[in-house]
This record gives sequence, C-alpha cells and structure tokens, in this order.
Amino acid sequence: MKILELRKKIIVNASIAGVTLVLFCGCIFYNIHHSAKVKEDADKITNETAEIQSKTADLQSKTLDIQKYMATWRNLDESKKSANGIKMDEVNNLLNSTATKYNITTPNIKISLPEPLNDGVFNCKTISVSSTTATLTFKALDDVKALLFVSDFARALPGYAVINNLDIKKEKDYANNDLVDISTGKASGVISGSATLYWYAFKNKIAAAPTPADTPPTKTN
Amino acid sequence: MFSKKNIVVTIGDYGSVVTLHDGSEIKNKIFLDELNDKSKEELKSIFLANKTAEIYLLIDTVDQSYKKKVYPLVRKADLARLARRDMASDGDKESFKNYFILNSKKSQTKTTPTNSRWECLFVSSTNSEIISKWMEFLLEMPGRLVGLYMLPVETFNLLNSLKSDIRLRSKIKNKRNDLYCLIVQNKVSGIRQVVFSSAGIVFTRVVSYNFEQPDFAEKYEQDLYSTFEYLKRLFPDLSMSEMDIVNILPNEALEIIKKINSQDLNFVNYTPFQAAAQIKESKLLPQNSTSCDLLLSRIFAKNKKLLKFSTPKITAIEKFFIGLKASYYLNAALILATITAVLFSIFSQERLNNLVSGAQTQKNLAAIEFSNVQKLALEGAKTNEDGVAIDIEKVTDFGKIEQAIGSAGTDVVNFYTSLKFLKTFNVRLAGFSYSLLNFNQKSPTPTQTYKVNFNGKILNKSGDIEDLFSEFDGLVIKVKESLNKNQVGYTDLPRNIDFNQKYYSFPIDFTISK
Repeated sequence: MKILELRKKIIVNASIAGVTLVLFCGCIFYNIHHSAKVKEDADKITNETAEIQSKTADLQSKTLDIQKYMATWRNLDESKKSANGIKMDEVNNLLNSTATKYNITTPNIKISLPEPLNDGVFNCKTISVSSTTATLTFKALDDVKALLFVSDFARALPGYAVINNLDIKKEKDYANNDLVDISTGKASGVISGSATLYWYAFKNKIAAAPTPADTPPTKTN
Repeated sequence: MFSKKNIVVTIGDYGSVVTLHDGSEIKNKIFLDELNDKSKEELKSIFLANKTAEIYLLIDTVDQSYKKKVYPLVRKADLARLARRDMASDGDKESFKNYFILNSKKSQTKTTPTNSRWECLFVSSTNSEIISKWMEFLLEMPGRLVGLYMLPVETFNLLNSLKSDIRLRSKIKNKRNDLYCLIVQNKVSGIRQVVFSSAGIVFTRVVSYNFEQPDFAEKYEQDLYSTFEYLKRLFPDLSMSEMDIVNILPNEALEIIKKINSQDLNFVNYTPFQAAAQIKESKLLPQNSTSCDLLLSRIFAKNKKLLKFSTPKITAIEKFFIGLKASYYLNAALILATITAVLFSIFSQERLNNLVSGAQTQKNLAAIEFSNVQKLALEGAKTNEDGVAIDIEKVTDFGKIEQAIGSAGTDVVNFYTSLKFLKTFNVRLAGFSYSLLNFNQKSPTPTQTYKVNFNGKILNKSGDIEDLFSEFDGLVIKVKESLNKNQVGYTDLPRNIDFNQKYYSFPIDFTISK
C-alpha cells in the first residue's frame, strides 16, 4: 500500500469527518434551539392559562360578593335604598311626624352643606353619595321616647344616618304641675336631647347622553 | 483493515511460497522459484483480489545471525535504549535487526534462578537482493505490508503446539532442561535445525542433507553433535541424552533416523502430515507431504507474532495506517452520534408537541371554566325584584356601603335597653350620652368603637352607709357582668365619706367604652 494512497484516504476520511461533525453540530443546535422555542411557547400558553384562572378566581370571588350583596339588598329598608338625594321638605315632614309620634317637643334640625364623597366604598358606579352632618335638638317626656325618636328618625331618613353622638339629660325631676302643663301643651318634657347624625344621601347617577356621532342619522323624506 | 485474511510470503534461498490465509484455511498457495515478471503478474491477481488482506514477509534465508548478549540488571526502558544503541552501532546498516529478552519474567520457570542480569538475543538478517525485490513488489500492492519476521523465531509456536505430545512421546525421564531441537524441511530453504528453550529460540542453522545418500544418517548424527557442542557453551550442564530431538521430516528420512542406534539421541518423529494433524490441521497437507512450508506458514498466520522487523518505509506506512484506522473510527463515531442526534430530534418532537398541546388543553379548559363562571355571573346579574330588573352594580354599591356603615351607631338603643337592670339597683339616671369614637365620616370602617356615659344617682332606702356601699358594689359588679365585652370605668364612692351621715342617695357616673 503506498503512502500516497493512505494519505488520500485519510484526507477523504477527514473531509467526511468534517462534514459529519458539521451535521452533528447542526443537529444539536437545532435540537437545543427548537426545544427552547417550544418550551417558550408552552410557557407562554401556561402564563395565559394562569391569567385566565386568575380572572376566573376573581370573577368567582366577585360572584360570591354579589350573592352576598344580593342577600343584603333584599334585607335593606326602602329608606336606605332611596336615591332621591336630600330634600329638606321631606326631612322636615319626617322630623315633625316622628316627633309627633313620640311626643317630642321643639324638634330642631340643622344640616350642614352636603359634601360629595367619591373615594373608597363611596366610589360607586350607579349612585353618587353626599354626606352631611345633621344636628338634632329636642325635648322629650322620657328617655325611652327620646331614644326611640332619634333612632326612628335616623332610620327613616333616606340613605344612611349614623348616630355619631347622642346626649340625653334630665333637667329636673317631674313635679305634679309639670305633668298638667305638659298635658295641656303649656310645657315640654324635662328630657333634653341632642344628637349628631352623619347622613349619607344617595342620588342616581345619570347615564352619559349619546354624542351626536353615536346617534344614527334620521331618515327624512 | 478489519479483514481476517492475510497473505504470508515465505522467502528462502531456494524459492518463495505465497499463501492466502482466510480464517481457518489456506485459500490459495503459490510456490515460486524466483520473482520475475511472470510470477509478479500471477501474484498481482491474488493481491488485487484481496486488497484488505494484511501481508507478512517470513524470511527463511541462511543469512541470519543470532547473538546472545548480557546486560546489567537495569530498568527495562534503559535496557531498550542500550539494545537500540548496540544495534545502531552495528556496521551493517542495511540488515534487519531486532532483539528480545531471553530471561524476562514471563519466560522464567520455577527452576530458573531469579534475574541478576538481562540476557538478550539479537537477531539480524541480511537485506539480500531477493528480499529487497520482494519488499519493493509488496509495497506496491494494495494490501498493507505489516512487517518482516524470521521463520526460525516464529517456529517456536509450532514447537509449543506439539509440546504436550512431545512430552508424552519423549523417552527422557526427569528432564532437567527445557531445550528442544527441532529439525524441519522446507521447500524454500532446505533443512533447518532450530534449538528452543522455554524463552524462545536459542540457536539455528541450515543443514544440507540428501536422504538418498548412504551417509545421510552419519551426517545427520554429526550435525547433531556439532549443535550440541555449541550448546554446551551456553548450557554447560547440558547432556545430549537430556535434549529432545524433534524431527518433522519425510517418512523416508524418519525410517533412516529410527535405525540410528545411539543411547544419547532421543528422537520424537513426525512426518509433516502427522505434525499438521497433531495441531488439528490434517487437511492442510497431503499424507505424503515432504516439506513443512505450508505448516509453518499456517502456524505463523494463526498465532501471535513473536518478533517483528521493520524498515523506515514500513514504519511510516504503519503510522499512516493507524491514522487511517483512527479516522474510520472517528467517522463511525460521528455518524453514530449524528444518527443519534437525528433520532433524538425525531422522538423529542412528539414530546415537545405534547408539551404544547397539553398546555393548550389546559388553557382551553381554563377558558371554558371562565366562560361558565362568567355565564353564571351574568345570570346572577339579571335579577328581578317584583318583576323589575335590578342593576347588579347598584346592588354592589349599596352592599359595600351597607357593609361599611350599616351597623354604625345602631346599637345605642340596644345598649340603653341593656341598662334596664339599673332599676333593680334603684338607680335614677340623670344623663346618658353615646358617641362613636374614631368614626371617619369620609372613609368609614365596619368596626367602630363607642363610648357611653351614664350618670345619675343610686337610691339608698335605709340611708345607712353600709347599705349604700353594698348597693353600689352590687351595681358595679352587675354593670361589669352585663357589659363584660366593654371597658367599664366608674367614679367610686369616696373612701373618706362621712360614715356618721345618712345617705339616701349618692351620685353615680359610669363610662363604658368598646
């Protein structure tokens, strides 16, 4: 066997080895790259799945909340659901009627300027909330009537009225002639009361009117 | 390269024999008187038909020298250097030279003493014209010329193959040495004596006999005694009667040898056919075969080679050949690796597809679940109350507000009602106040704390101070008991009260906070 022939064969083999090595490296590179790409796609889909599951959980949580709120809604007094805002005539009428009911004399209410509330729980989609401070003063025949008057009045107010302060004082003990004067309407009760109410009143939010671009053109003949 | 075929070219002074060995048999054999153009053409057809067969050159010429040399007990690497130096210093640069160690650990037996020195046998053979011609021809052939070998050295394998039978047939009892004298007849070289020890060849010579001559037996005996005389120099304790003489000669020669009546000569005789049969190659030679050329060629081809001789060109070819072999293995490994990578790619494709489809399936399931929940939520959103549809967002708004402030300040009446036990303690209230603590009008929280104060007087019918204290303490206990979830503060009866005075009433002041 000649050295030249051996050398030729070695060169041919080396060339084949070179080509095979390139093919091998190409295969490895393709495997790695393709694997990484597919894993990336799979991870992307997994992330999207996690997002959907998160939305589902969120929605389920909201659904539970809604169910809870529905139960609450059904139990709410009509006065609390009222969304007519603050109407002083109605307030005065209510005050007078409640005072009459509990023999309250000299009922007086002072209401501060309503302040709109937009933050926190008052950030509502369907109603606007305004808050005012109502200061109530009155005279009652006894403590029970005084308490019931304040409680009923607060409950009957449209919206929510929170009794922040309530003060009942007995100015003096009843004497015999006091009872006669009271019955004839010449005197009021010996119980003086004052209460500070935080009154939250609601008004329905008006839906935004359609812009001219939104309204379809009317046909004219 | 990976072929089991090999071609053995045995060169002697009277001709050459070329044998093609393929596994367990000789496929082809050619005896040549000389290497001429005609014989080259004939040989070329064999070599070209067996391109992958390895070629061995087995030299059986008379111009071979075997010299024993002794070295001090140095390291084997140093011994190799010394031996190479001695071979290089030899004047004849053209001849083929090599050596082997006679007393290496492998060749030692229990009876031989441990080494105190190295004994080496230097073998050399003249690079005659015929050998040069053959080498030139063989290097042109497609097969690889592996190397040159000396037939007398390689005949040791034949002796080892016959040894067990020789021992059985030997007349020598209690043999004290391991020497055997083998006498073989070859067509290419004539008759050769070779003396072996357990380590290998000790001595060889070519003898010339004519079996038909009447003095053959006498000449034969004389040659044996000459050989013995030479051996005495190497083995002083050797006696003729203790050396086995193994003849592998034609039957006619053996018949004559059997008639030799000498007590000192112990023969073990084989015809070439019998020797071939003994090594399980009975089909190798015809029964009437007179020479051992094919037998020795076969023994050489199928056994491990003992001593290789090389030339610079053969060494260079060997290096290239190793490189070529390595490149074949490298290619095989790379091809295998590439195929593996491709298969891996194909099989992992399915796994990767499953990965994506699995993830997609999960996504679809999640989407379906979301859609179901959404549907339920929308159905829930469409609620009717007395035939009127209710906006769920309105419900949510009111629900949140109710949650935050629905219970604030609503417990004042209940609290006051819970104080009805005061009557049993003859308490007359003069004042009651209630106030929410820390109620933030703009951002209320569900849990509120309050502070309640009630004051008045406690009536004491008897007027006795002791009754007053007792009534008051009872009142305090009851207040604390009834309002145990709250913090109770009160103005205690003064300890410096006038015990002599009558108290029919005493002011009280309680503060309750949550």
